[in-house]
Order: sequence, then C-alpha cells, then structure tokens
Amino acid sequence: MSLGVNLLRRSAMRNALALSGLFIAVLALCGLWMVVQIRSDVRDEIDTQLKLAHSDMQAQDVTTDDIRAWFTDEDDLILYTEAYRTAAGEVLGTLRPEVFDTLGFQTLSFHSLFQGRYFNSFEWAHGRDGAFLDEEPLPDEVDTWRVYVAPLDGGRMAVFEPLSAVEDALGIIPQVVITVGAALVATTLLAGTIMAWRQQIRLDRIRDGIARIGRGDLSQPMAPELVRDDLDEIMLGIDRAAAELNGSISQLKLFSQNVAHELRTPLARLRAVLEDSPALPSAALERTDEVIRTLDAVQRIARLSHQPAPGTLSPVPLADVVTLAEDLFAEVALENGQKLRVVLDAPAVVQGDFQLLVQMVSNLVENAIRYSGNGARITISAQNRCLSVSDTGPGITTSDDMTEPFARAAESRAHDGSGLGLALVKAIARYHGAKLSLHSDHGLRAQVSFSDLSGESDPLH
Amino acid sequence: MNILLLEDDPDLAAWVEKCLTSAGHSVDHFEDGKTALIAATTHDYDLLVLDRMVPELDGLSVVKTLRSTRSEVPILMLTALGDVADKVEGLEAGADDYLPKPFAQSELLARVMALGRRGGPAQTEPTSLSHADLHLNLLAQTCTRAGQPIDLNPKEIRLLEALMRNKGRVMTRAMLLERVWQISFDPSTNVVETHISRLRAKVDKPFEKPLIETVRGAGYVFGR
Repeated sequence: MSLGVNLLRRSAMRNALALSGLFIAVLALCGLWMVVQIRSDVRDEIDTQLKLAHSDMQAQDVTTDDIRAWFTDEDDLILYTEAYRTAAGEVLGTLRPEVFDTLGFQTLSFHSLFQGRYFNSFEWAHGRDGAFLDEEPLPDEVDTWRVYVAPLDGGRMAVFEPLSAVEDALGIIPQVVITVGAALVATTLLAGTIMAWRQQIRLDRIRDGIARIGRGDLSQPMAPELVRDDLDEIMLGIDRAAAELNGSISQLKLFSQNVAHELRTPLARLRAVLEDSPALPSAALERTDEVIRTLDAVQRIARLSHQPAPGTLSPVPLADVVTLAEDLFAEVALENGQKLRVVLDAPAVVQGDFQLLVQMVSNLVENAIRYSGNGARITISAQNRCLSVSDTGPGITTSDDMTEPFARAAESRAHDGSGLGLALVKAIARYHGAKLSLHSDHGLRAQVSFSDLSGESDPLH
Repeated sequence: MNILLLEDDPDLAAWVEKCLTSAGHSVDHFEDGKTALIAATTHDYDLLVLDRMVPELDGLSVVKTLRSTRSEVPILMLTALGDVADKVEGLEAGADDYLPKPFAQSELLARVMALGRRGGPAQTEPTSLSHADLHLNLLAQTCTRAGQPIDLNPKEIRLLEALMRNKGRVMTRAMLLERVWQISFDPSTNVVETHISRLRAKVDKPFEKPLIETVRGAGYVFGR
C-alpha cells in the first residue's frame, strides 16, 4: 500500500498517469467520432444501393405480373430482398403489409419487418438454428434492417437490407478503444514506474545531499561524473556552493583551532607560574581556571554545531544521567542551603552521548545552585523523553534569549559564570535533536525534550 | 623514568621538561613526529608524552604506528583540543591517558606517575586498603579509624578508595572526577571540594592527624 502511495507521489509517475489519462480520453472521443461517422457513411451507402435497386426496377419497367412470377416458389421467398404490395393490397414477399404504409426510408426491427411465419426460415437462411425466435430477442446484428419503400406499377415496392454488417463493424470499435487503452495504460504505467524510479534515484540523491549539508557535512559531492541534463546541473550547482561553503568553514575551523592552541599554551604557562607562586592570592588561579573553562565551553559549542557522526551515539538511560547529577550535586546544593531532589517518571532511553548529557544536566543544576538562592528547592527530573531542572528561586525577568552565548540575566551579573552555560546546554540539546525550553512562572524550569526520533537507531533515515 | 617528550612549542616543552626532570625523570625531547617515532622504536622508554598537533607526523599517528608494532609503552597524550571526542579518539588509537592543555604541573606529574606505575607488573586489586590507623574494607564497604567505625556512603567510599589507592600521589580534581564519577568535564561549582570536605568531616576531623591534604591549585593527596 505504502509502495503504491509512494509511487503516486513520484512526479514522473504522476506525469505518466496524467498523460495516459489524457490519451485515453482523446482515444475514446476519436472512437466515438469514428462510430458516428462510419455509421452514417455506411447507411448512406446502403440507402444509395436500395434506391438504386428500386430505380433499376423502374428502369426495366418491372410489372406486377413480373413480380408475382418471382414469388411463385414459396421456398425461395426468403432469398429475396424485395417485397411488393399490389394496388389491391396483396403482399408479395415476406414483409408485413404495414411496412408499405410509409414511403421512403425506414429502420425497422426484424419482428416489425417480417411476417411471423418466415422467422424460422430466415433463421435458416442466415445459417442459424433455434426455433423460438419470436420468443427470444434476436441478436442486434440481424435485428436492424433498412427498408426503402417507393411506388412501382401502381403498387409499392419495398427493398431492404440488414444493417448487421455495419453494426458488426461498428461494434468492434469500442473493443478496439478498450484494448488499445488498456495496453496504453499498462505501457505508460510501466514506463512511468521505470521513469519515476530512475528520476527518484536522482531526486533522492539531491534530497539526501541537501540533508547532509543541513547536518553540516559539506564534503560529499552529489552530482554524477557525467552531467546530462538540468537535474545534474542543479546537483552540480549545489556541489559548487557546498564546496565554497566548506572552504570557508574549514578556514574558520582551522582558525578557531589555532586560536585555541595559541591561547591554551600561554594559559598553561600562566597557570604554572601561578601554581608555583604561593604568595599570590588563590583567586588568581581560580580566575585562570575560569578563563580555561570559558575557552573549553566556546570550543565545545563550536564542535557541537554539527550533527553527530553515525555511530558516535549510544543508548543512554535518562535515569542514569539524572542519578549521576544528583550524586555530584546533592551535597553541593546542601552546602549552599538548598535541597536537591530527583523525580523519575518512566524515564526513557535515548540515543546520546552520556558525557555530554551529564554535562548538560550539570550545567542546568549548577545554574540553579548559583542563582536560585538560599532555601530554594531544586528538582532534577526525567519524565519519559524529557529532562528538566527546576528551582523555586526568583526565576528570570529578562525577555532576552538566555540561551544565546554570553547572554546573562541582569540578576546573575553579580555572580561568577561565563554566560556560556545555557548556550552549551542548548548546543548539546541540538546535537541530540532535542529542544531546550525555559519556563519562568514559579522559579525557573529548564526542560530538554528529546524527539521521538532521537531514540531510534538512526534519525533522518 | 626515561620519558620521551614530543612537543613542538619550545617554551612549553622546556617547561614540561623542567617539571619532569625536577621530579627525578630523564627526558628526551623531540619536536617532530617522525624523529620521535624513530626514537621510540629504537630506544627503551618508560613513558611517552606526545603532543597531538606537531609537524611531520601528528601525535595520534605516532600512537597508532607504535601500537601496530605491538609496543606496550605507556603513552600520555597532550593536546590543545580539550574535548571528549578527541579524548576518545586518542584513547582508541592506543594512548593510555589524555591531558588537555593547559594543565598544571601537578596534574602532569600525577598522571605520569599513575602511568609509570601501570607499566609495572600487574597488581592484584586489593580488597582492603590501610594507612596508619585508617582501614577501608572494600568488600564489606566498611571503614574504621583508630578502631572506631566510620559511617561512609558508597560515594564517599569510592572517593576515599581513589585517594588511598594513590597514596602519597597528588590526585587532581579532574582525576577524581574521572575515577569516582566517570565524568570528563570540569563542573564550575566546587563539586570535588564539597565531597572532600564531607569526607574530611568524617575521616579526619574527629581525629588528631589529618590524612587528606589539599595541594594548592592542584588537588588532594592522601597520607603524605
């Protein structure tokens, strides 16, 4: 079923179906026109012949007596395609008397044309058997007759012909239309399927390529080696744009790596000097460590801007993340005059990086410890596919996006902290395909919701 | 110990060399991966300290090449790229430990000592640890000092165990976070300090001689 629906969603298949539909409609119209045209042509032809037969008799001055002589042998009557009604009203031949009432052409059925006693004989003459013709309806091909009645020698001469041959020929036309149509639909469906399949391979390539670019992987080209048509050219264009982007991103990456390298080395030396100088206040060391942590966070955020490479994520029970965070921070909170508790409500297992998820929750808990104030209650919870950290502190009053790097609420300026904590949380959430939201109705609640897909083995595919 | 140092930054190399020699080790310093690899395969070192980003052949390739020759020499990787992914990559390539720059002298020495010991004959894991009048039974999860039982929770036992196993050696905050909680990032709140101070309140405070000592800017040392 889904295969059929998928096939119908392919543009090439739809084109093929639409074209075959149009073709069949045209074919049906042509067939109808042919039927009408041929029927009128053949009838004209028959009418001409009937008229000709009549005028031949007139030209030969056929008399009533001559005609009477034709019809002497009762057995031969049925072989004649003429019949005559004398001026006195006597019918010579097989036709019913009332047929002669109307002059000119008539189209009549078998039963209204012939007298009953000839039905069976006619059957025989047409090479058919079956005795009960007056009870059973006749097939169409012998049922319709054309009659031409005209005056001759004081009486009326009727010349007649069956229309069966014409109807026979015309009956084939709808059959031809249906057969040709069916063959056409089958062919176009097959061709459409093949075309859709071939086209789809290339469209899928574009779609996957664009998805890859979205994930930050700019290295793989999608265009085939041989550029054949506009679709290939589109791929080539995307490849070129991606390559250009890749170039500038690589430069930026190299630059930030170099910056990190160049900054970290002097920092290491500075730290060593501080470490070896007991005379200096220990705050100097702590500040240095803070700078190092900020640099760390900047680097991590930069690195997390890409989707994880396949195989780097593994199943992580959210309960384990929460429990470890409690293990780490329960006493720190207590020391700070706060109470930390954990709520587990059917916690899910998600695809993730355990260390990063612990760091994410740790950052949220550390924020809560730092800003919620003395006496606050901090709750870490894992509910289904949601991790959240909430506190009963004052919350935040700013409307700024606190998850932007270096964004800090006015309340927090007085405290330590790089302003990168939430930005890193957001980066880690994004890396896992999860969403970070902040709610500040009562205190502050930060929630990270994992999508249903992030538990699957391979999102996006 | 005979230590090979691969580091292309002359200042940092000089500093690391000074740190290591002052701790009684002898150091051979190389500035590019190729000559370091040749030296590592032709000499018998007790430990290699390799920077990751160096000219000619990067530190990671040196590790991979050495491990492919079945060399089991302990390797400590140094790098500016302090990230979990890099760490995993380094460890998967065959490095034994990983130290992100910038690092403290004590951090470096602590890890060098730990690795040097690892290179020796395999030790059986003791089921109980003792120092002076402190006894920690890991099977029964009980602790006594001067004959008095001390009530420790499992986390405190893990922390004390980590300190006691490395008796006399500095354990840095990062090392404790790795060994006790298995986390590889540095929380910005004083997690380690808090847990140490709780442990001290139970293990040291009621008694005369403190066993857990703070090392300024570095970490903690047990029973020095």
